[in-house]
Amino acid sequence: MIVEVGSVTKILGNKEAIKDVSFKSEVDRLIILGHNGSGKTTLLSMLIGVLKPDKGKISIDGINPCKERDKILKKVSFSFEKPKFDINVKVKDYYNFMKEIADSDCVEMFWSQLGLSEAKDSMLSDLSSGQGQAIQLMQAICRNSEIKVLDEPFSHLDYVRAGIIGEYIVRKGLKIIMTTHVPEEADWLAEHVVILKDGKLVWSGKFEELNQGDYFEVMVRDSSNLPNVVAKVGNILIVKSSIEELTRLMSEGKIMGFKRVGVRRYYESYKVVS
Amino acid sequence: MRAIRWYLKGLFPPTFTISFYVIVVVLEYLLYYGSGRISSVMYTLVFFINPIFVISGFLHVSRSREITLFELSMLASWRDVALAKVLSAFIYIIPFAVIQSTFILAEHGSSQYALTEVMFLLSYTSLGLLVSLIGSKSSGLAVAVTAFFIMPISVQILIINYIQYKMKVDQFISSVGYILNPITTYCYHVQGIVTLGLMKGLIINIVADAIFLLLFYIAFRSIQIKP
Repeated sequence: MIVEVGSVTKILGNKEAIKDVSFKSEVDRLIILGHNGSGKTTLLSMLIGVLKPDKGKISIDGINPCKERDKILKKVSFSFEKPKFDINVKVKDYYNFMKEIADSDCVEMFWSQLGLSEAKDSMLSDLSSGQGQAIQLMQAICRNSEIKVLDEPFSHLDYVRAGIIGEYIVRKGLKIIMTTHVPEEADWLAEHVVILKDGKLVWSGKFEELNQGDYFEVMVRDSSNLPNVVAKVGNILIVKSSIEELTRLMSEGKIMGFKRVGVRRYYESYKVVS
Repeated sequence: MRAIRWYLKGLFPPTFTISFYVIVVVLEYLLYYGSGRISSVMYTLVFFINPIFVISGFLHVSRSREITLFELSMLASWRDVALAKVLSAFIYIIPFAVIQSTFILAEHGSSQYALTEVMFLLSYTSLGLLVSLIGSKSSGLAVAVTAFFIMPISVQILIINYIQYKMKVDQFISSVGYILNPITTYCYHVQGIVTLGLMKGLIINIVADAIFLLLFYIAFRSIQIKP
């Protein structure tokens, strides 16, 4: 999957939602990470051709989504975060419809493992936000398409259901373009990460590049006596250290745990820690 | 086509459909046999029943931005979703048009009045599809309610003004009349006030509907949707 975004700008109202963003990704799992209002959904909308950029070019596997709108719809299926249904359809009717047009194993996973069967007689409009999101994701993930474009797919799901879907994506080797504001989701699924802030590109690159250098995420209860801290968000610190040093600190009870730094290296602090 | 099958789901909500049809049939029966005049039925249709019916169809095809995106992804075609909206809207009006036309034919014996009823439904269904392109469902509904109730009355008022000034209604206004209120316009044609005949009115109505539908199709396929 080759995604190319070249100097893209998008103005919504009076605000530049996306400001001169460029990147190129040639992996199967592209994650767009950013805080609320960072422009993730706007960028995603342009990638599938439902919004047109005011400046710049976008292509997915050589297709210009804004000019070849039907062609891109054959290639990608997508879901957006807000799971609000105002249509007069029952869950079981939707399920039967999906069985005819989508991968049956995938549909069954949503039906049984994600619990949609329990709401089979409900109208789509009466579902909880979590069930609504599962309905959205069912068509996006199960419909026969090469690329799944998912906007905050786990935002309304509990961690068990989010885990089932994430695991399915990895196990099946699905090609995805996904937005999230949760670093752990990006750390789990990303092969290429694009980090946005206020519509601007903060960082773009392969996930492995984030792991280079002796940077770690350290979980603490009290951060007062820890050396070489380069960024801090809540109880997670980004520190330059070594595995030996951190193991010692953990055995002394000074830190709760640690892992190699992931997307937080750029996402949380927005400092380049070289 | 899968998009059409999807759009047929929920098209005739049983509770609304049954109660609406029962009320309409009883109302028309009482009106006709109470007054002995088909015009009572026709005016009730124009100003009350038809707008409510067309708005209920509008509610089916007018979908929120989130649902439009959901359907575009699921059905994988801008063209198919647009066509499914058009076809489901017309499938929705067919039973109603048949029942109304049959009633008018049976009680009045005039196929012309039955035809004007069908023209009315066609016009406002086409206009409803255009209105459904308005960004949000609530604002689209507000426009539809206002337009579908006010436009037929406006035509009536316009023609009454012509009558007050003892003028014949010219071709242009007659054409607008046959698009926005064919029933009343034809009634005034029978009285010799509107010069344009029913057949010409029918052609104008069909051409206008085709233009509305074409505009809807083109606009839908190029619309930008902000989730």
